[in-house]
Order: sequence, then C-alpha cells, then structure tokens
Amino acid sequence: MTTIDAPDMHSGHPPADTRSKKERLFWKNRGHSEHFRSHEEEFDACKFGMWLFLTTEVLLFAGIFCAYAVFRTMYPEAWAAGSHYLNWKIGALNTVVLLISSFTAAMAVRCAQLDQQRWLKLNLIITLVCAALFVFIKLKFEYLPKLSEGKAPGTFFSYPFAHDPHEPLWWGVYYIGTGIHALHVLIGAGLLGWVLYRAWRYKAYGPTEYTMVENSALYWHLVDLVWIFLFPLLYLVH
Amino acid sequence: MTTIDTHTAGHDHHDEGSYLTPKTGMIGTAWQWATTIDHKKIGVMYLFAVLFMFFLGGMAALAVRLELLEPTRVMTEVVDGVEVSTITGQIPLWSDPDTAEIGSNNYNRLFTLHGAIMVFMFIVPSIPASLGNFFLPIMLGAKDVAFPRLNLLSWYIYFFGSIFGVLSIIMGGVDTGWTFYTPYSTTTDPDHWRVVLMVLAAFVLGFSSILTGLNFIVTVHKLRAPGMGWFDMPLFIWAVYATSIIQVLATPVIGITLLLLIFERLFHVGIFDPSMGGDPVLYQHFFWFYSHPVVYVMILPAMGIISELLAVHSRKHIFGYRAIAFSSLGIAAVSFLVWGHHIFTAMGELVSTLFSALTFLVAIPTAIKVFNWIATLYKGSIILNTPMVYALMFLFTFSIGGLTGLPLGALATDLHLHDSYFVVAHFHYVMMGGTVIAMVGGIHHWWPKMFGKMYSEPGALLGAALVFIGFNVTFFTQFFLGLQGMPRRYASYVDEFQHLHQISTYGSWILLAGFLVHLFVFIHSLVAGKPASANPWGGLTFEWEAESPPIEHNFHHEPLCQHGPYDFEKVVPPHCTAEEFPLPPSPEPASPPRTIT
Amino acid sequence: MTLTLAEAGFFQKLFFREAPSTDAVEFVDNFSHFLWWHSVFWFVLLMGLTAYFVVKYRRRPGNMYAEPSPSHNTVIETIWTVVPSLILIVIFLFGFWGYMDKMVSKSDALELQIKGWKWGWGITYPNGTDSLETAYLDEGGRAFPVFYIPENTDITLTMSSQDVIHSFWIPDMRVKMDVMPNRYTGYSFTSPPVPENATAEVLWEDGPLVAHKDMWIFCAEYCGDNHSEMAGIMRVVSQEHYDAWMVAKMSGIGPDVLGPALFTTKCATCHKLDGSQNSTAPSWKGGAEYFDQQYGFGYDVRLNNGEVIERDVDYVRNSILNPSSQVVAGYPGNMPSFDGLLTDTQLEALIWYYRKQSDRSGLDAEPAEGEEGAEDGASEEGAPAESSEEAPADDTAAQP
Repeated sequence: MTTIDAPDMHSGHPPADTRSKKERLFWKNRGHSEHFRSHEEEFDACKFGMWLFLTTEVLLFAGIFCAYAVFRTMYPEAWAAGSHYLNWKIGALNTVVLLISSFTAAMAVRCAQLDQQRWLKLNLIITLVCAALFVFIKLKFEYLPKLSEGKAPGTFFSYPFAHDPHEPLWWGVYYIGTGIHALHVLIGAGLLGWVLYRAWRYKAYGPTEYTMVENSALYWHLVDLVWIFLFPLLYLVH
Repeated sequence: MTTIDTHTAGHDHHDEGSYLTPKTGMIGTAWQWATTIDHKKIGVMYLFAVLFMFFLGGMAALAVRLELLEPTRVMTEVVDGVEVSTITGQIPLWSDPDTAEIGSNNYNRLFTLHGAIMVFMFIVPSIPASLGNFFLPIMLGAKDVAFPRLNLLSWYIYFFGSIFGVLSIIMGGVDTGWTFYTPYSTTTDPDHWRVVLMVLAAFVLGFSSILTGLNFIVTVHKLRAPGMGWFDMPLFIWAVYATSIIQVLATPVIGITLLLLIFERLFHVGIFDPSMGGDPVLYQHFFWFYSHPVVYVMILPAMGIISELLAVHSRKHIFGYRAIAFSSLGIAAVSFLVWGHHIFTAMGELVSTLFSALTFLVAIPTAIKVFNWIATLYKGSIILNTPMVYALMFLFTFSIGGLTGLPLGALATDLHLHDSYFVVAHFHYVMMGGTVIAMVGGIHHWWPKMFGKMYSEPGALLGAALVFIGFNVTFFTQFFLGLQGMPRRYASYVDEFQHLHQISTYGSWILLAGFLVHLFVFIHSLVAGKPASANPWGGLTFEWEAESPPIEHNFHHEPLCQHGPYDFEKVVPPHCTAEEFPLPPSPEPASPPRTIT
Repeated sequence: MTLTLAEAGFFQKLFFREAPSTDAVEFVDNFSHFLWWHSVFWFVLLMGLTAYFVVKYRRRPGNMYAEPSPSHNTVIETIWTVVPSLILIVIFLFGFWGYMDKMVSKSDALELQIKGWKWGWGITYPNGTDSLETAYLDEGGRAFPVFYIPENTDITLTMSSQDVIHSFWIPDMRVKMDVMPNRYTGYSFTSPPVPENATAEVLWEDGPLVAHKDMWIFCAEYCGDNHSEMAGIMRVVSQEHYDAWMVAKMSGIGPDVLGPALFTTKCATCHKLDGSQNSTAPSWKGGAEYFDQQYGFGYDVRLNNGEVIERDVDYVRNSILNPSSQVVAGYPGNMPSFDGLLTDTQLEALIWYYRKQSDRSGLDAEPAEGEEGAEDGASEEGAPAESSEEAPADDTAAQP
C-alpha cells in the first residue's frame, strides 16, 4: 500500500496541551481536526454540511407549506377568512425586523473575516435584539390576543363569530407553521448567542476561524427565508 | 499493492494498538466506548444495537406466526371471565392496572411492535450506521468521518430514540401498525401516551438518520484518499452515498409528518382528522413520500455489499461499474416519484395511473444491477464461502422480491393484492431476502476485519442453509395466501387458509434455528476464533490494507489510491502473496501510479 | 358461463382456489398467470446462468484467477435495458386496462351503498332496505352479515366509513378499495352466475329453496382490535330469488325480529350476550357480576371519568348515538357513533333488545308499555324499584 507521509499531514497524538482555554480558543491559535488535511478542507466540509442541513430544514417546512396548499384548495373560504383575521401590519413589522437581523448577521460574518472584534459583537447583539423583538411582537400582538379571543387550533377553537366551519383547521396550520418557525428563531438565537459568548470571552473568531459564525448566520438566513414565505401566504393572500 | 514507505518517526501511527484495545478497568473501558468519536467503535456499537433490535423484532414476528398457526385467536384465552395471554401464562400481557383494561389486541400490538422495531430501529440504520460507519471512512482511506462528534451525537439520538420506542412498549404497546395511519392512530388509546411516545421515537430516530446521512455525504465529498476519483470508489461507497442522499432529502418530510401527528393527538388540530375537515389521505401521501424512498435506504446499501462480495469472492472486476454506480443514483432519484403505489386503493384513477407508470421506472435500474452482478460471475474464480453463499442467496431471494413487485405495480392485479399477504411476502423478500441476507453476508465478509477473528466456516454455512430454507418456506407460501384472499394484519382467519399458514409458521422456526446457529458461530469466534490475517479474502479496497482489527487511526500511513477497487486481474492483494492469489499469466501492464494532485 | 372448480388447472387452484367466475375476473387471473410465467422465465434464466457460472468458474487448481474479460459491453447492456423496459410498458398497459374496467361503472348498474364501521359492514339497497341477514360460520362461532345480490348483474358500490379507514375487499372479484371517513369511494363489478351445482337451501322463513354462491368480504385496511372479524358474505342468488328476498325483507317486522337481527349484524362483533368478559366492549347480559361491574339494563355503570350512572333508556340511546360521551370504565372506548346508520325504528328495536337481556328490563311485567317506553324516556317504570331512587342521575346520563 502506498503511503505518503508528509509531516504536516499527521499531528499524531499531540503532547498534552498546557495552554489555558482562553489561549487555546483564540482564533489565531486554532488548528484543524486531525482527520482533515488542511484548515480550508475542514472549513469547506463544515459549510457543505451546513448547507445539507439547511436542505433538510427547507424540506421540513415544505411539509407545512404542502398542507397549507392542500387545505387552501379544499377550503378557500376558510383560508380567506383566516387571513382576514391577521393584521398584515404586524406581519410586515416582523418581516422588517427579521430582514434587519439577517443583514446584521451577514455583517457579523464580514466583521469576523476582517478581525473587527467590536463590530462583530455589536452586529451579533443587534441580531439577538431583533430576534427577541420578533418573538415579543409575535406573542404580544398575535398569539396572546388571538388565543384569548378563542382563535385557537382544532378542538380548542371557541371564537363565536367564525365565518366558516373549517376555520379551526386554518388556525391549526397557522399555529403549527408560525410556531415551528418561532422555535427555529429561538434555536437560531441560541446559536448566535453562543457565538457572541465565545467572541466576547475568547476572541474565538477571526479571519482564519469563522466557521461557527458563518454557519450560524446561514441558519439565521434560513429562518428569515422561511418567514419571507410564511408572511405573504398567511397574511397577504386572501 | 506496493508501498512507498517514506515514514518518518513520530508522525505515523506505527505504535498504535488496535481500536479494540481496552483501557484499564471496566469503567475506563466503558467510558472510553461511551464517549468515543472513533467511527469504528460507533459502528460496532450500532452493530450490536441493531442486532439486538433485530432480535426483539424477530421475537415479535415469531409470536405473530405462532398466533397464526390456528385460524382462531390463540394468544388470549378466557380464564375466570378474564382474558389472559397464553404466552405469558396467566398474566395479562400488556394490561393497564389503572383501568384494568385487558389486552385482547395483543396480536395487533405484536405486529405493530414487529413492524416499528424492524423498520425504524433495525433496518433503516442497519447497514449504513453499522457497516457503513465502520467501513465508509476506511474504504475512502480516511481517518474518520467528516464530523466525528456529530457521529457520536447521532448514535446517542438513535439510542434515546430507541429507548422511547421500548418505553412505549413497556407502557403497554401500540396497536396502530407501524404506518400510524390516521385517523386510527389519532383516536386509538386516547388516554395514553404510548402512541405519542412511539411516534416521537420514530421522529427522533429520523434525526439520527439525517445526521448520519449528512456526515457520510460530506465524508465522501471531502475525505477521499489522494488519487481516489469518484469512479475509483468501491461500489459500497456509491451505494451508501446514494442512500445518504435519500436520508437527507426524505427524512425531514417524515419529521414534519410525525410532528403533525403528535400535534393531532395532543391538541386535536384537525389536519388529519376527517371530522374537522382534515384529510387522512394527506397523511398517507406525506408518510409514503418518506417511506417509499426509505425502502431504498434499506436496500441500496445491501446492493452495495453484494457488489463487494461478488467481486472479491470471484476475484473478478465488477461488470459495468458505472452502470451499477449510476443505477444507485437513478434508483435514489426515481424513489421520490413513486410513493403513490402504496395507496392505489385510496387515490383517484388519474393519479393511480400516473404512479403506476412511474413505479415501473424503478424496476429498470434494479434489473440492470442484477444483470451486471450475474455478468460479474462470468469467467471469475468463484469460491463458495459464507459471504459468497449469502451473495448468491441474495440474487435468488431478491430476484423473487423484484419480480413479485410487478403484479403490485400493475393496477389491475394490485387492486386484488393490495394489503394482502402477497404484499407481506413481497416486501419480506425484498427487505429480509434483500437487506438482511446482504447484511449477514456483509458481516461475515468483514467480521475478520472488524474483530480480528475468523469464524467457523462449516458452522456459518449450516446457518446460511437453514436461513435460506427457513426464509423461503416462511414467505413463499404467503404469496399464495395473498392471491387466495388472505388480508394482512389478521389475528384470526377463515379456515381455508390454515394449511398455508401452518407451513409458513414451521418455516419461521427453521429461520430461527438458522439465526441461532449464526449467533453461536459469532460468539464462538469472539471467544475462541483463530486470529484473522489482514486480508483473508484477497480484497483490494482500502479496508484490506489496514490491520485486522484496524488501529485507532485506521492506517499507519495515509493511503494513496493507485488502482481501481476491483483490479483483481492486475494487482496482488495487499498483505497477500502471488501464491495465494495468483494473477493471470500475461496481465496487462499495470497502469502507472497516479500522482497526487 | 358454466365454470366449475373441476375446470381450474393446478396453478389456477394454487393461486385463486377456483376457476374465475366472470370475464373481469378471468382477465385478472390470466394477467396474473402471464406475470407468473413471465417471472418464472426471467428467474429461471437468471438463476440458471448464476448456477452455471458458479459451477463452471468455481475456484479450483487451474482456475485460481479470473480470465481477463470485458468490463462492460455496450450492446449487451443496451439490450438488457431496453427489453425489460418494453416488457414493463406492456405490463403497465394491461394493468391499466383491467383497472379502468373496475373503476368505470356501467350505465344501468345496481347501485349499493356500503357503510363500514369498527367493526362491521352495512349495505343499503336502492330501495332503502338494509341487509339484516346473518350467517354463522359454525356452532357458537362468529356471525357475519350476508348481503344478497342478483347474479349476472353489473354492480356499483359507493362506500364510506363511519370512523377510521377500512377497505372493502371481495377476493372472488379480485378487487378492493379503501373505505374513507371523509369521502365516497367505490368500484364496479359484475356479479358472477350461480354455479349449476350450487347447493340450495331454505334461507329465510317461509322462503323457497335458493341456490346461492357465497363470496367472502374482508376488511383489508387495518382498523383496530377486531379488524380480523370484520368480514361479511356476499351471497349471489338468481334475480328471481333476489326479488323474493327483497319482498320478504320489506314486509313489516316487529322489534322482536328486528332487534336480534340488528344486534347480530351491527353489534355482535364486539358486544356479547352471554356475559362473557372480553376487553373490547361490555356484555349486554345483565344480572350477573363480572369483573366488579354489573352489566345490563337497570344496573348502575361506572364510567371512566369515575361517574356512576344508571343504565336507563336514555343511557342506551346515547351510548349508540354518541358513545364516546360515556365510556364504561375499563374499556377503550373505541365504538363509533351509529348516528345516521340506524333509522328511528331500528334504534328503538335495538334499545328494546338491549333491555330484554337484563333481568331488570321491566319488559315482562308491562310488555306493551315497555316497547313504547323505549322512545320517550319511560325509564322510571322500566327501572327496578331500588334504582328509581337514583332517578335524578338520569338527566346527567343523557348529557353528551
């Protein structure tokens, strides 16, 4: 068997690392995993893996969109009535909030690449504030008032002035779609929060080490993208 | 294969022991295994886990066959006005102490148990997660999969998913059938959590499947050894690669489907509930959009194994390498378009016709594979050892499975055969006669590599013979049962079917005996087997260049791909001599070593 | 057409147990035989080649290595791609042909409404009559509903389900279709002739000797506990006997006939009359103690929400029309609603029959009033003295 044994290809078992965690995690000190040949290869692999994962997320939401389409065809009146209950202004506000956060997430990646540590943190903070704002608006102006009026999914539906017998189904699709999306907002915020923590504490990201920032931002763009589809389908199409 | 050994001390892995070398102390070893990110250890853990699940599901299957020995229900009998199980003696099997509910539907719970365990916990992860995890990186010449920690995570997701499943069984079992058809699954056992738990288990196991598939795709793309192009990859890798694509693309859909099912049960949102305007057939479309492609998640890796076994054990290059590789991808692509043939009896005429036409498309790449395999045997040097016997068995049973798919794809006959024992026999010929047979063959093929021990050849051949006879006796009879009108999932049946049912049940006992022989052979090999050489079969792929069992980092030096995986006519296998595996007298001049780019 | 069992060849018997009885069935059978022999051809060819290669090229001194041979051959590969594809097209077309035959209903077909529920089948004829016939498989064995159809007639089924998905399979007609809770499905078939050598029996009271051919109906879509008991019999008789039967069944019948008939066709899959304990549904037999519950009319019942109410007529009526509102403790509560499946007369007959099973029915003392009482809540006179003290509980019992 042919073996080429270039020294830089194998780190073998490195001697016990005596550096502190802060030193080890500093971006300039990060190497690559043993089973990759180079840092670039590892970065490419991680990014490719993330894109594949995003594909699965798109397909997950595809199921919900599919259910939406099927029932929209079956019960157009209920769907028209349903979207009339939603205030498009609140939806539009949330869209703007998410678009801003997507921009700052992209900027965070750029800042990491340029080693602008302060701007990296600032951009991440703005993104997280937007995420919180989105969830707050969703809960305060949409979920809670609607639930208190009885516009709940399925058998919990008790809204007395319903126009169409299939409105509970509309609310089922509405709550599942936006609910799973909101869950993704929280997961994305958690990822970005983790990035922020590591950037703050260890200066973990810089021009040669920004895989985590990039992947978290990619995830956040997906969250944004899903909302871009949910918003017109639920709020605007009658 | 020649070795250009330019090793410099300190940078290679010469001093490493086998990956099986235990740490000091039981707890140390256990902790080492529980926290390992070594793909080989994870693969071995998967292997034992899926085999345990196969055992559990198999026990349920035997109980199902036992029940069907008699036309009337035999599994429960009435004692003092209380219905009890005859299997567990006088204790009601699966009773709920709170409501004193008695399990009259033991049979329904047993076949659900059999189906759910076999599908979600055994056959979907079976080959990719165990043999795939172990051999995919080694065959690529890599040290590990691309994301080793993700790999460990998906193992634990599988582990806890299975625990949810087993928990729902302990809590009383589920009687929905493994397909969880609505509205039955949303209304049965309304006061209990166990259906939710079982659905949750399938949902969680899906995540494990997605992460494994994702990991494999990236590994194949990024971690091939220097010099290994796409068409230098062993066909097993191609098959697992195609499998992984299906896993990544199809599993999210079952994820959302099962999530909707859980919402339906917990919050009655009505999406699948006809009384609220929902559509139960939508559930079936969603379910089969995943569950049909997943059939190919089960069978494609098996096809990959067969390609390896046939080539190595007939010392012959594979016939039509590219045709086999592309047919794997072709099957993966077409698999997404044919889900409707599972619900011909629930759809309109136009849609049914369309799906019937598309269904026949899938037969073509499958047929091409079989033709290529048989052509591979032509002018080979065929040795009838256990892996090869299993590969030939696969050709036999899988051909039957494939050909009996024709009357199910054709509409006129499917309306008669749908949901009958014909379907049961057909998919057992494909799933068990295909996947399980190939997996057992693959385990025998790679057993010396995985554990460094040889097994008893006569013992394994005896097991293979029993499995072959038992399998065919059990399932061939079921084709006739189905044609004659025996529906699936019946605990009791009309008397005229009894003879065939009895033959089938006797066959299941022979099958059990066969697997017990294999179990004994494996245990004997682990305890007292002869040490295996690094390359007992004369294989040419990278795993045979590693030691048996491989060292922690797989190879002492990074391997370089210099010849195709099946160049048996040109290359003396690694670790072997030309006396053991002679080459043809006037071989073509070996192609010059490729340079690393 | 006079096809009998004797004419069926070996494979016909092995596959379908008897000769095809109609043209449509014959098409499917011939198609199946074609597929079978086509598969046998390929299988023997492939396995023959495999066996030949394995023997000829086995590893032995003198064949220790593979002779050089081509790694692919475009001509052969093209042939074995194109030929199976062509065969598959033919198979698809035949399948489509037979399928459309089953789906398209004939213009003057007899239209039958099929209703499925957990766990039984009901049929409604064009004139609104239900089939109330039941056949016993063996002594003390299971009873199955019997649906009469005339011979050599085009029949179209319109099917729907009361609860979960079922599937209406007549193996002898080689056709099935799912029965859905939210839509109508259906198919068409031509009923077979009554074979000349069919046995003739007296099938209903004062009826003639009727030669008949029985065909099984099975539920083919898993639907729960008693899925395997959800069978029925389609009985083919001559047009003349079909008409006679229809007249016999259309004439007015009292609850004493209607009640038991309805019980066996609609309730007996789950409910028993002998007090025997099964886990699917409570027995109708009253008076004895089983499993710390007393069953039957006039006795108290403990519901799964802990409430104890009395089994009066309102309770029974509500149990039939809205069963999930009052599930007896210890039972899974998977009975479907029979709302819409029973006419008022039939409902009253069933309630009468239920009362009849109990030693507290009160029917023997006041037979005339008892029957009427079934309708307008005469629970107090029907109930025994001791439980009349709990009369206030009746109101709650009737609440859904």
